[in-house]
Amino acid sequence: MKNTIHVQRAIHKMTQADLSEAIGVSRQTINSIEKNRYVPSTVLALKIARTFKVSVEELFELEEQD
Amino acid sequence: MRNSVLNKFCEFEKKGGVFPLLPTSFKWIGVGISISAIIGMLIVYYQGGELRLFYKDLCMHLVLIGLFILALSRDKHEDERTNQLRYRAFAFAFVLGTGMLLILPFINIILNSFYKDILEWEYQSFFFIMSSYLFYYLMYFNIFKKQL
Repeated sequence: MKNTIHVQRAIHKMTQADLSEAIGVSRQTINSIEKNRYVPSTVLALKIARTFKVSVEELFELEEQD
Repeated sequence: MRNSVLNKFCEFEKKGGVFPLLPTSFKWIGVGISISAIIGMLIVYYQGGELRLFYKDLCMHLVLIGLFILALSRDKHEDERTNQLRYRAFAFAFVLGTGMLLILPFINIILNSFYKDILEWEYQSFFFIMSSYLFYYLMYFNIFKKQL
């Protein structure tokens, strides 16, 4: 599963630390999600989407092998 | 009764199944207890005395209590990812610890046939079993936190 969190962060001029503070997780968690090492829960995905004011589908996309 | 237990479990799962962990400060308390107990063991080893065995057992037990407190202490930044890594570390520690305990007697037999009476592994001792599980859990949890 790929995601566009780093793109959205750039658009909203947010650092990983800013985003982690906004949704209440650690900066390492944001880093792991961006690098596709960790797939967030539905609740966390919705929180990230709400922060960027986009839908979850715009943030996360399934890949061929998923 | 059955439904209330199930409902409580469902509520627990909805919150991400987060363990009721001890505060972060307990991590240092756990480390302190373990290190003090190890120092105590060394003192007992060199000092000797009549109650040597009692103090040795006491210190070994305190090492385990310290490691257990350390294992159940909240991380500095506890969230759903660390919770998931915690579960994964529990699973790995269980599989590796149990596998090792099941294989060790055979290794012991093989090695003893070559080097008679040299190796006396206390693989059945309470301390060995418990420390293996706790050590593997702490090791895997820290590896996962750094790499995942």
